[in-house]
Amino acid sequence: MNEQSEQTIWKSYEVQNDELYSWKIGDLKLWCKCATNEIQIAYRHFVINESENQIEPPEDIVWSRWALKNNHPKIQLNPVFPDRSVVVKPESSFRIKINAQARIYVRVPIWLQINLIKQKPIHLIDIPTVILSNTWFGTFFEGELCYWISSGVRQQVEPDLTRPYSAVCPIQLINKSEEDLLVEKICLRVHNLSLFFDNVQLWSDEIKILYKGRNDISQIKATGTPPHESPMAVLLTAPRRPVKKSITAKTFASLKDLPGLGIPTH
Amino acid sequence: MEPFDLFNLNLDQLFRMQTLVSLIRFGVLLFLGFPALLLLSKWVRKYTSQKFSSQQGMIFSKFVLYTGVVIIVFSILSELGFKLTHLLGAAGIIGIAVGFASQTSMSNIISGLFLIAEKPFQVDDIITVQNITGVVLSIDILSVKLRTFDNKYIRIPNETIIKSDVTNVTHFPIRRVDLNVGVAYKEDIARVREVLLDVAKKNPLCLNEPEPLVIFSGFGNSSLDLLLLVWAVKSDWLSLKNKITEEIKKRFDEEGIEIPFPHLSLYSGSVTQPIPVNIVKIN
Repeated sequence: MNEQSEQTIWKSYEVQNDELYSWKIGDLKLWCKCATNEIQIAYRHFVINESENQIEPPEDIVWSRWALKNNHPKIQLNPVFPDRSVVVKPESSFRIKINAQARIYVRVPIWLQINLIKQKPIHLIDIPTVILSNTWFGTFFEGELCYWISSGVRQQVEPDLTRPYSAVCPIQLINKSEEDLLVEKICLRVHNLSLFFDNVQLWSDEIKILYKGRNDISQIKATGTPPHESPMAVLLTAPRRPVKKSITAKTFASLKDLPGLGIPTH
Repeated sequence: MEPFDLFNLNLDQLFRMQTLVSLIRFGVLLFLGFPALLLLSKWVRKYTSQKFSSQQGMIFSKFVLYTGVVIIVFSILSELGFKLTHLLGAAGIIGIAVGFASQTSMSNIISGLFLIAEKPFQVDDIITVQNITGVVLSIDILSVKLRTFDNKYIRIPNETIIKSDVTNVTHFPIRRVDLNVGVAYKEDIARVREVLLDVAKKNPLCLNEPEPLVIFSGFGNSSLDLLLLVWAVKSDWLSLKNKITEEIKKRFDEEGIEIPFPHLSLYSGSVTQPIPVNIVKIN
């Protein structure tokens, strides 16, 4: 039985027949084994009071199976961002004055991507390291389904060795409108971001959000390079949806936009 | 030119210029007109299906096809020498008779056009009309077809839909689940509220925003009545409704929160004294 720690898991593994491999990443426990011309993967998210040190997979675990051409497959574990945008709320809302800027940091739990290594990597499965809850960003008439991040927004960041499964996203907010920008809720389109690693912490590329006013959509640019907090970080994963220049999308919303009763307040 | 002159085997007449021109026109209308009309109808369907919906594309293309057929047939008859004024006169009288007889159908057709223009629902939406709920299969000229959830096929005339209240369950992307929860009078409302909101927070289908809400509805006959409001995307609505009710029951059992049965308490006039019971012997 081979168990890997969180720090060194982003690499390739040759899976031998009849050997059970396991990895522990945050709340996620992952198992992998290989039978004749078949690879099997199972996972479980552990909640409080469940045994995190459980090595053998539980009996009721469900295995995902793929038939292969050859034995002894090689798999690659990569970190990727979630497959949807994420919404984050600062602990307390704050304002950015006209023409002012602010730099904030958001921790986003990553997903684990397992690829089969052939001449071209073959995607097997994406698994969230943490189960995130759903949330709606938009109005009662239109919007998008996102994940809710409860970790909040920070104005400083320190590498957190206890949470290596989360990526730090540095965001530069620039107010180019004619009014103060009240930051109550931010929608981050993580599927346009790359992932970098500096052997300690996962980072996204630097994000610049240009706010143009309440009735205008914001311009979002991901630089594609490591942030200046970690300039030597190495690219691990390209964006799920690469963007050539920048995108425009609604990024900021008010806490009053979606009251629970369904009655708009403004 | 008289009718059927074209079919008269008089060679002098055949080679008269006028006859020749009529022959050419007849041939063009018959052998080019109909194929061209079919092509035009297909192009109209393709274009309007892309711009609007496939249902509207089908309706527009049928309109073009039927109108074109009528025009070509009348033109051919005119080339053959028929006096169309008589035909139009007869058609007018028939039209009035048919109009009286087909009032309902015409009403359905007009209602169908209004439905297409107004678009209160589209194909694949789930709608409720007069207590019938189903998935919209097609919106046609005369009627709308639904498939109910137990796989019945229902045809609803367009006139009925225009006159009735139609509820489109899937028009908006998110929907609210309203759950009535009754707890015993002895329970602490604040604690019950906390438990309900925690259950909602832990359910992955339940949206964080719009945020779950607990409203105290009032003092029921047998219980304290609360209303839990949670939101889900429309595709998860039924799954959330099923799962969260079970989760609430399970959590109430774990927390020792009582869900009371409907009950009545009898008092004999003073709450501290029991109701007197006399046992009478019958000989």
